[in-house]
Amino acid sequence: MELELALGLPSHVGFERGNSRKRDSSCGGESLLDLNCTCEFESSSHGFSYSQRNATREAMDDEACSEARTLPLVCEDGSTRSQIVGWPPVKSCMNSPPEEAVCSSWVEPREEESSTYVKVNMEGVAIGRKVDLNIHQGYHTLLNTLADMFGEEQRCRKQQMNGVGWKSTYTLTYKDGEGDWLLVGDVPWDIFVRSAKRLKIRRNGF
Amino acid sequence: MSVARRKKDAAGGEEDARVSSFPDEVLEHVLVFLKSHKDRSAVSLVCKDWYAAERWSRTHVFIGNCYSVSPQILVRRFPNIRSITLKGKPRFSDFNLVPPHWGADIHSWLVVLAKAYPFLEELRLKRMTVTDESLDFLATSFPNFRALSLVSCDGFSTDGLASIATHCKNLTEMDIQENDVLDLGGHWLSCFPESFSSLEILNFASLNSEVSFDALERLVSRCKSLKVLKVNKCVSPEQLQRLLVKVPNLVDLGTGSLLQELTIRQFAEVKSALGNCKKLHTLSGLWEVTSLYIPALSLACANLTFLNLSYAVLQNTELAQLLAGCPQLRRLWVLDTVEDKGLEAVASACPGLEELRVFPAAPYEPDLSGVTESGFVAVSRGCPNLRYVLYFCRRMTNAAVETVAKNCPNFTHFRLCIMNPCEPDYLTNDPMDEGFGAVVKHCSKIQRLAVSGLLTDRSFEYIGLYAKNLETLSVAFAGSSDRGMQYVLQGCPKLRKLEIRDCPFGNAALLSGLERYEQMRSLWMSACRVTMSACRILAREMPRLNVEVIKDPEGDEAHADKVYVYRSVAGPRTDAPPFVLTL
Repeated sequence: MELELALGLPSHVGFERGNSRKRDSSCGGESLLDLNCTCEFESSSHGFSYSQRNATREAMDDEACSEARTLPLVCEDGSTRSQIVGWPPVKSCMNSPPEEAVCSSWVEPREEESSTYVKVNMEGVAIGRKVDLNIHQGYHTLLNTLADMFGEEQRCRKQQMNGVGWKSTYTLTYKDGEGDWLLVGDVPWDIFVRSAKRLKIRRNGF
Repeated sequence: MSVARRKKDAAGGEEDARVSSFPDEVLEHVLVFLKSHKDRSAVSLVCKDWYAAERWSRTHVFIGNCYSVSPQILVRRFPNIRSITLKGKPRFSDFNLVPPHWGADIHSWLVVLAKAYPFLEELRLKRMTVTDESLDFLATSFPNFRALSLVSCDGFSTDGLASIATHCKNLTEMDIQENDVLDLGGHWLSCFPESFSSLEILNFASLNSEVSFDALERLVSRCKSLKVLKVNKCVSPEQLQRLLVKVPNLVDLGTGSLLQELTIRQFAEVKSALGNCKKLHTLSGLWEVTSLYIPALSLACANLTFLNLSYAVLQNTELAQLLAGCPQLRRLWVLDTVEDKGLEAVASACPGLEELRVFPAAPYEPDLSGVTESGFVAVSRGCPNLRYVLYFCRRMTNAAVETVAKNCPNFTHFRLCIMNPCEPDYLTNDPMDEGFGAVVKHCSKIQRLAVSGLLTDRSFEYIGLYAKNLETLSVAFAGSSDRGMQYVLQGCPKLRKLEIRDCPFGNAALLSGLERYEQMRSLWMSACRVTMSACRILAREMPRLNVEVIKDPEGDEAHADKVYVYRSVAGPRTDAPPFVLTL
């Protein structure tokens, strides 16, 4: 079976919303993003009418709109970090400390950049790989490369499972310059290439 | 009186005399007094004579979308322009929704303007791309150039500013705000020649590098007409004091950082200098202000009408103390660190307040308190003259919004941002439909509205029903179906700008506005449910609209991820980058 790497909301690949806040203990001391979303409207505690809840869920779940529409994710320390591009709608220069008052990185005309290799680890696999982000045009090609690299591992793993309806669902995350683990796919490709320092393929456990 | 008249149709002599019974030149002289571009547009539609008189007499032109018209068309119609205001990218580019190198480059305009208007004096740009090369070209092509304002622009560095300082001998205004500027140092300020003394407005608050204080002090001494001075955070209080004593007629001051530890004597001098600024109506800057400075600042506030504290991290007590010295305040911008108690202080100290903007100090931290619905209500009670509000909060209720709307029926601009998307009324868990419904019901003058929180189509139904003066609407993460957008397009006759992101509005909604978009400046829809085929239909049916799509390379083939529709007499863009598809 092919390795399926997911970008965007775990719910896109059938992840149970009720299953909240599972933490993967195998990841040791690294700060982890919980792979569920803690969207306000997911749980019954808000007492929405069925149609309202579905309408909003529909609004947020639309596959065609997965790009910028990620929901707050819960970090290991319990705080919620918004991953939505351009939200809240504040110009960054309004709120940066004065040292960072330049609104966004001044974009220079595209030049040849030196290669940017990042380490990629798959959860449960001892040996990591390295991938050059710069030779990829976008997220799709990166996923293809990773699927090639790690597909073998996944096939071996499948043989070890004994008849439990295995669904190979993985989530790709990356570590940015500030040491935070984020979902791959949330930001434009350019920004991702500049900020990604490491990649990790995490298994969505049940 | 024999005055040369422009050629008229002889057959209609009698009727023409009735319409325009005096020579065109007189009409032109009268029209000179018309400043509003809306009035001038109306005048130009009366008849051909008036159109001609208006075009000869117009000296300032405002272009809200640089792609709606070409520079060639502009110069052909208006021969005597001295001042131009141009806006470029869609507003959502402020929030990184528009990829870099999208366009709105001023250079192609400058080339045409240099030939047609060598006497150009003023250029005001917002969300345009401006390179150093362009700034240099500007500085050397227009000998009478006087005023440059760059807001939210990108593409230039401080070297470009150096060109302006070096070459523009008659410069009166240099206003640099919130740009994505590459700061290579403060040397640009030293480029103003020693003979240069015409500056009236200088704003470099948003630049990071330290300028030569010596050069700045000399510049300020020479420029006797300086009215507006906004320095950056590198200017210390002691330096500020030395500047202030040279500009007693200042009406608009942006201080530098106020963190310096001063001796008693130094502090007294600062206090005295501030006290001498009797004519100040605007105060801003105030980075790292400490409570120590509040009494000193209050001395400068007796005639203040606009206080911008959006860089000052203040507690509510400090704010209250400062506001006590501002009896004339009309506009206030604060950070939400002042919390609800701070807003209560605003309510009691500023009964005449007309504009309030509350910005989030830490927008990406969800657990800070900031301001809530109760601060909002408190302000509305104390400040019934409020017309403009921009309010960032983490929780809100329909009841509070309704109370605010009833207390302040004069709202023209209502921008409420509940920072977590799809957040319902936190007490009832209802959508925020009724709250925004109350706003449009009670505030008939609403021109600009930004909605947030959990919203169904009902909120848009209210907007379509009541917001008959609405011109600008910003929507994010709201609505339940196409009907939402349709309500607005059908119900708001004055709608000019509609910007939508992450809403479940699709092709039916987009196409329902077919007849509307030509009366609007622009429509932006991103991360909605519009497909390429619907965009093609729109483009085919409405040839005078430019329909542009930016596709997400990782997205669905058929999906139109970012759609930008705008009317234009210039036809499709000729400078679109590869990622902008013109349909």
